[in-house]
Amino acid sequence: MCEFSGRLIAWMDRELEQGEACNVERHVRKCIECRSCVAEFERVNGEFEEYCEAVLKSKERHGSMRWTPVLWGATAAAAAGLVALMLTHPRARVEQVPVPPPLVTGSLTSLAAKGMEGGLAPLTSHRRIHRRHGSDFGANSGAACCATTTPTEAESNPARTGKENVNWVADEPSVQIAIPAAAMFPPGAVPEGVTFVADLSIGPDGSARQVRLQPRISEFERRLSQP
Amino acid sequence: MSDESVPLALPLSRFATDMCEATYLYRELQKPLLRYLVCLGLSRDEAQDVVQDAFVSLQRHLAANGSRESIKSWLYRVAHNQARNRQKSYARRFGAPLDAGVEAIPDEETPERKVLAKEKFERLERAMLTLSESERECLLLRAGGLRYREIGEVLGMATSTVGDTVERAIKKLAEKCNV
Repeated sequence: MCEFSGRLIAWMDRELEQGEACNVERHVRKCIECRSCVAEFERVNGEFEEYCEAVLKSKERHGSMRWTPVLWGATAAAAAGLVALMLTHPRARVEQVPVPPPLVTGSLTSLAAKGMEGGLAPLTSHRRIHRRHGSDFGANSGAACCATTTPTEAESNPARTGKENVNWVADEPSVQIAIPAAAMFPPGAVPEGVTFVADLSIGPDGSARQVRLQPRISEFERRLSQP
Repeated sequence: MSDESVPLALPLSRFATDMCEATYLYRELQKPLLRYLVCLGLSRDEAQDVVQDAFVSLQRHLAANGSRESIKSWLYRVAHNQARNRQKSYARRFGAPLDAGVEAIPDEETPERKVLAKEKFERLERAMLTLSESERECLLLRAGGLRYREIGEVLGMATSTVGDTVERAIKKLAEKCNV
């Protein structure tokens, strides 16, 4: 082992003082062993430099590759969701029928006042309340459904007519209860022009016995209601 | 009027000087610093965060009229400490001191050269794992162009100790890479 071998790396790194560096340099020119050591250290230095660059490049590539499948997966999921939405809600193919605005609006208190003044009988055991759902309400005013109740003569006083009409349909709703569309259906789920009539049977104790939803096209319904 | 303009002009000129100095240092040291942090085990994104934080600290240091001596080792020390703090805080993200999942694929022209380069890389990586933490840090800082004195300032070691550590590390690598 050469006595200068311990100072070769410091000499290569130019960390020695000038006089000492000159001594090492003179020795390396003459000593074959030290020259081969210097060559070996230079090779290791070069490989280490390449290694550092490779690590940096590898991490660059790693970073981009890590996000690529995530981006592709997100794009595929979004496309599949869009196709599923278009298949389940084919809005473009539904014929848009204009829906008339609510005819009469009122409140439960005003109805109660009217009923008391007109001498109406109390609610009978089977009363139909029509709940209408229109998508245009949701689009325009945020209200989607209305429950209407207007007892006819037979309905309001069954004792006078002798029979109970359980299938009456209100001509003019005197009470409307507005319910937001989002409470019943997701936005856009019901095509425009289609309404829902909810038949609600109320028992003598005031509790709901039965609810039946029937889809209807508003234009068709309006034509039927006209004389 | 002239008395009032002097104190105003001095901070402005100092600010401009600081900006120029910080910009110059950023251009010179951004890439070596990033490489040092990545080789230390940080991910690429975190290394970039640390580099950015280090240069923000440098800007504040210069604005606060901090010492201009050994600014390079000061910057490396800030980045080194931040990296070590992150590694301690997020230990779950840094299982190994060097990222064990790194697989370098060299950009060589022929498949044969690619295989040879990959073998060399793997051999060197195995050799790196035999080094102690201080040996690895000394080698990485030396590869970043720091002098032994500056490495000692970054790692809190004496300059002679740095020389001995570097020599020991290189000899270990030479021995392992010759096998």
